Amino acid sequence: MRALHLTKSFFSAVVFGVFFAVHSSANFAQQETDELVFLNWSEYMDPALIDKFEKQFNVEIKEVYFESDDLRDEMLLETDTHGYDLAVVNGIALGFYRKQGWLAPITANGVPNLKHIDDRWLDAFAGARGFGMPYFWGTLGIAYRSDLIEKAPSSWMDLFKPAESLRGKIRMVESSRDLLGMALKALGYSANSEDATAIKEAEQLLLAQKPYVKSYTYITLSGESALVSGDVAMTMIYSGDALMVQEHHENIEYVVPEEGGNLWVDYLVVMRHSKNQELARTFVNFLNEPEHAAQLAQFVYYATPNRAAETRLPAEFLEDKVIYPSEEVMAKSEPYVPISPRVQKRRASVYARLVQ
Amino acid sequence: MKLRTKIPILLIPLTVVPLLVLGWFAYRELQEASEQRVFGEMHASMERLVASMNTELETALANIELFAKGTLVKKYVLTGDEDQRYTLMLPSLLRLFQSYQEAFPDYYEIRVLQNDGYEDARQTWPHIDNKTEEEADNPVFLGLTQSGNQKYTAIFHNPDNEETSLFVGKPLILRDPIVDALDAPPTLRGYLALTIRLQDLAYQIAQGSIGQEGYLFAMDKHGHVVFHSDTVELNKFNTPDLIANISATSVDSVPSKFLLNGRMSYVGKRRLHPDLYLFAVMPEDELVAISSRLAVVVATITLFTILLALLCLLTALEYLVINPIHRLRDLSKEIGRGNWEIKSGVNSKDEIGDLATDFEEMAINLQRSNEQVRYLAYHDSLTGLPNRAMFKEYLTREVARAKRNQQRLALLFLDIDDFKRVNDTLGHQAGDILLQEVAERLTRCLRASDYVAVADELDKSSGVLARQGGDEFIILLPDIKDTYAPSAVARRIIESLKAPITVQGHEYHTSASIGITTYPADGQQADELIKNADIALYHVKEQGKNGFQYFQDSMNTAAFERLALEVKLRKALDSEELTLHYQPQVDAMSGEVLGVEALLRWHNQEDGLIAPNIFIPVAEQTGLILTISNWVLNEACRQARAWQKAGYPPLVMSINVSSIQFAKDDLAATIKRALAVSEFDPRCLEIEITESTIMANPNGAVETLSDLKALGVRIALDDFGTGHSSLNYLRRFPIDTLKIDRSFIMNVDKNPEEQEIVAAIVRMAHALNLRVVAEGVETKEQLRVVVDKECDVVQGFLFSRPLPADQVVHQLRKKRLKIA
Repeated sequence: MRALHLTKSFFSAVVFGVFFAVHSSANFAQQETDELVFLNWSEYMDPALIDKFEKQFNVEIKEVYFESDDLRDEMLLETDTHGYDLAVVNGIALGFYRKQGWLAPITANGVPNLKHIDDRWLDAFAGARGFGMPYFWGTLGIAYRSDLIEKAPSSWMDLFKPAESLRGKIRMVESSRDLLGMALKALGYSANSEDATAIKEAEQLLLAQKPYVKSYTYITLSGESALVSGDVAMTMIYSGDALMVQEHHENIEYVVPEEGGNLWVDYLVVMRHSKNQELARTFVNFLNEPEHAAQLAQFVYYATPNRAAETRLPAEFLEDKVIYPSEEVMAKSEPYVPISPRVQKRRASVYARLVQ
Repeated sequence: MKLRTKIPILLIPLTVVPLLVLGWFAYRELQEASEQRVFGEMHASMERLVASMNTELETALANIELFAKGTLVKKYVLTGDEDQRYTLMLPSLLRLFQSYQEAFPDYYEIRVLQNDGYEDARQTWPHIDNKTEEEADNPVFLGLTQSGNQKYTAIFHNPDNEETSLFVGKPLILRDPIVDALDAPPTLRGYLALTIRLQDLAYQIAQGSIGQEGYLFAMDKHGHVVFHSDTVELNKFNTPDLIANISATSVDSVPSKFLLNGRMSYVGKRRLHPDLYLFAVMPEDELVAISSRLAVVVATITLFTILLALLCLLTALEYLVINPIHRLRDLSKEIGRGNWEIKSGVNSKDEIGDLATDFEEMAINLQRSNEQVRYLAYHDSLTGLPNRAMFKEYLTREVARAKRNQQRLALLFLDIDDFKRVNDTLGHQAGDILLQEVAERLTRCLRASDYVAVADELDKSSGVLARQGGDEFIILLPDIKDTYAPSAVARRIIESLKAPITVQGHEYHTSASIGITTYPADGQQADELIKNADIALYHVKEQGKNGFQYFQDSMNTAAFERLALEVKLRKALDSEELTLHYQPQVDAMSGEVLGVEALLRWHNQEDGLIAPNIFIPVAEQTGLILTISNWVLNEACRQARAWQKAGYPPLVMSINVSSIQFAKDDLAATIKRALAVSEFDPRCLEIEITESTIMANPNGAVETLSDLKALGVRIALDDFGTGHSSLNYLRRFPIDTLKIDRSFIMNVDKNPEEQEIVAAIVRMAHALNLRVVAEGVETKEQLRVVVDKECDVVQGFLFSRPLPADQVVHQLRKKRLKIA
């Protein structure tokens, strides 16, 4: 799960998606063999690989970007996934998508390169095996400008209860699981806690933080990023994205706080309503050619679940603690697990209040 | 009462009353209009809010319909798996709801409720803590479930934020296209609910004002005031009963009156929603205050108009009517004073202006006619000379001037000799011509003529001539220096009259006698000078006429006066200065008028009434008495006969016969002739002869009386008791009546001796079969005595004084005479 700088606004993305859906259904017969629509985070794919696949298979791949998990859900809900062939989803969402009947199977039959995938990631989320191809994995932590803050953050509390000087210089992410989850971890609870009191405390913590937060939209990763300009001194960020933005400013640092972060896995899924399921699987398979997977990992700065690819990666990539956190960090971090509906509802309500 | 008072009294009510009425109507109209305006304002305020509320409701109902049709909402409620719903869909749904809230900020709570009332999705913006997720017992939810699958609205108190809000709910009745068969009936999947803030309404109600102190408030169906500028204040004053009463008033009717907030107020009511009523309140005293202000304004305007109108009216009246009238009145006073040279000064071109012009013309005409009257009054029409009155006036002034200047005047009194003869032989016309010629000659004799024209600048040496009346002229010679100047003038006159005068072809010789007086020698006053001149003239006449004579003191004696009287008496016969008065004689017992005594009266032009005891002796001495007695006899008979003819009761006419007449032989013949001429019954004629007359020649008298008796007339013995008649004579005289002399009656009521005399006379007369008349009865006491002493007839002032014929008839008409 990662996102790059948002080249289009949320609104235009939605419009594009809707437009595309209508467009694709209207031109169904003509384009069914020519085109794959890929719902993805922005800058989460190497364009060179797209080009290569397009040339090799004589198809066109259209990437549709989403800004947050919730908005991706919304986009898919709106068309009931019609119009999309492929998508990148996190492990939790994959379970719901599968339940919703939105996903087509991904097995070794259609995707032989599944064999390169580490079982750990295939089984990291219930229901992922058989329907999802692990794409990348990473952590959730804090990126900050070491030159703009007095003390480097070591706890989530440094983000949730920031120093007064950081008022208006904090950016957060647009995700209820991440916001509530990390607030719970900051308070010493599990990120998946269903305890009402814990959730209440987390809500209070988030509300108390709100005045310091400049925005709940994800930070841009390009040179124009607020983190680069210094308008933002600290942000919640996914590990690889921190590395990507770091390229634009040397004083940008990433840390997984001492409480631990979220350990996440993104999967490639093929939509059940896709008319090009085979081609989509071919694309998934193409991406998991070890050579391609290695190339892609170095492009997005994320750890690949493809063991065959790992062997082709340089040592400095493999030793980067941001990409490959220590065992200690891994131990303290936890993946999200499904939580009971009513708690989820409660969390949704809290989140809605927070970001509205 | 003056016009200045009268006209305003008439006009002020005519002006004031309509203006007051007008003012009253204007006030009523304005008051009604202002009431209508206030009520209209109430109405408009309420209608605006009703419309606003309706719009809100309609919008909400339309929106909830639209929201319910959203794919996400449908999918959401059709997704049975809570996990899927809450994890996958809820964030999107809430985001969708939030986007609705961005468009409709008043929809502060948008919810999806499950069939059992569980709050499945709830989006509030801004955030409002949720008290409970279980809404099954919420009255609003119950209302929604009982709405029969229809959209449902309610005004309710939201416990989450303690606000009165609008609830709009819609049941979501759907068929699941995946699970259900195509023809399966749709089923209830839950409810979509909007909670809408009514802050606009609350604001409008709180800010809404009517007039100065009117206000609005809204009350829910439980009687709680929910919206008002100061809800606490309103609730403090008003009891639940009052609230109930107000609530019970009908919607849309005219405002009703309530004691609200401690003030009597008009309250209007509208239904905003079945759960919410709007009230508009207008304190009555403010309406009253508006009316009062109106009243003051209208009264002021009316008063001002009245004052202005009155001012204009009175000013116009003053200038157009009163002042000109005053001016005209002043003018008429001026005219009255004889000032003819007037200018009205009224120039207005209206009726009063015309009147003023008429006034001026009238003054001119008056002046002319006055001059004419004056001329007529002061001039003799025949000769054109100043007349007696003017001359006397002039003479008076001249005497005063002469006195002041110590001058002497001369007065020449001229009478044409034997002028009566001319009149008798040639007629009056000839006499007039003669007089005119004489006047002409006299004028020529004086060097100046017209007195009137040159009166004030009279040449002192010239004389002034005036006609004194009849054939008399009078001449004034002012400021005579020469003692003999009057003689010169007199001679010149006598000379000038010697030339014959031609009258109707006959030459006629005339002459004149002139008496002369001078001031201050012969009198200090004008009258005296004239009288003495007349006396001097009489002397000329006595001495043969055609000459002149100066007055001398010796002339001014009683004898000459008697002579002057005789002259006047002669003239009196001609100028009808003699008249007869009649005094009734009344039956002593019954008061019946039995007859009248004719009494001679002489009213001289100059001297006034002259008593008979003065002129009768003169008449007897001069022999004029015969002429007068004849006249009396004829006149009395004529009058008595006239009364008879006019139908008056038969009366006895008593006539006095003088001793001289009685002594004449032809008395009986004279009486006989008079009776014949007048056709008067002799038995009704009573001849009164005084006792002294008879006793002058008793034997002759018996004969004369017998002759008279033979005519059939009655004979009365007058002034009985003053003569020396004896019983013997009385017995011999053929008399019918005894008239007791008034000297006996005068004191009869006081003097017992005289009573005895009267009683004796009456007894004697009755013994001789004579009737007794008591004369001069003037008091009731005298009457009582004479009646007591059995006099038959009474006569005197007690009943009636002697009256002219035309007046005494009133007495005759009465059967009986009351005591006067």
